[in-house]
Amino acid sequence: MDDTQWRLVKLETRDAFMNMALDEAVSESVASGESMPTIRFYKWKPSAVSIGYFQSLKEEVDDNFAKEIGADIVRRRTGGGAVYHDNKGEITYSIIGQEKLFPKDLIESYKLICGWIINSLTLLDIEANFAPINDILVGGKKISGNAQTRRNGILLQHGTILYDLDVETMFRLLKVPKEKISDKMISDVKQRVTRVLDFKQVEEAELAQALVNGFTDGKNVYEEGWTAKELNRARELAQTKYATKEWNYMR
Amino acid sequence: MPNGKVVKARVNFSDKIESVSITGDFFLYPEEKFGEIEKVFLGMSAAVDEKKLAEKVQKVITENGIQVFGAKAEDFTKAVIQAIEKGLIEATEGN
Repeated sequence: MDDTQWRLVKLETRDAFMNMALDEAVSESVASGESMPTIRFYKWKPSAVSIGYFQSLKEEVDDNFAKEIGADIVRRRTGGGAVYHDNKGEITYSIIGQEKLFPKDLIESYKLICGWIINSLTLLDIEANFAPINDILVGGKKISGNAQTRRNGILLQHGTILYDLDVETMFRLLKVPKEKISDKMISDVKQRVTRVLDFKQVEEAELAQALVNGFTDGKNVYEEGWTAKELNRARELAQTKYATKEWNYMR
Repeated sequence: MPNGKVVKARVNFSDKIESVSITGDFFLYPEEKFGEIEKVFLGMSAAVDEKKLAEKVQKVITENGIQVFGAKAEDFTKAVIQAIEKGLIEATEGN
């Protein structure tokens, strides 16, 4: 990986469908050699829920409430669980590159990429550790969840880093009946989940910069945006796949 | 459980399974081969040997080079059997 050139696309904000469509469009352009392996950071506007490839949308998400508050719902290409992407509460990353750049063993590859997140948190004086398969914990509580897929020789891993957390909205979106939300439940979640702001009062921009530094340290990196082809392909995928009922309500 | 993964199933069942949908927050590769696991349950009747069925699922997993993280053949099998039992209970209560 030493002489690999990485493209870095810095923090941008798009809707759920374009965010997922870009992951697929860029996977295609990296596979064809038109683009370099890519590191991207992004936020979601409107706030959104992404569900794992094998999850049932209606079982995991209160889609009526999502509609009420204008939150998007999108199915990912990757497995794993339902994630609330709070526009004000997290930063998401994607790594897209040829499989050969990463360890063949799945857990080792998660460990490698999660290591970059751990480096980033270290830059903020936050001590984190990798919990197989795909979590990063601080003091035993989850600060980052990650998901990976490998298709057509391309590895895509994406995940979130929790900056802040709106537990109430998350509970309502992720199908926890109102009657069941007790103080105990909220404190239970708070026992299992943590966020950057619990450790350090930083601006979100500082977290974004720490992530750039942690991910690019030791790498040959150049900063660039998307090609016109990637954007057009992403728009097409967003419209014909990721924003459609067929895709999202597939299960 | 913090790292516990969940597997659920829905079945369309008359006297045998006509369709099945297994869902959960597990990881499975390659994703396209997931249908091979669901296919195992089609045409099944309610009277099943859970252990034998799980072995059948495991065989499909192995033969197709499928890797699963967060779920095992036993979990898929249990989820489908629970869905059948739930359906039978609901059908009875509906009468």
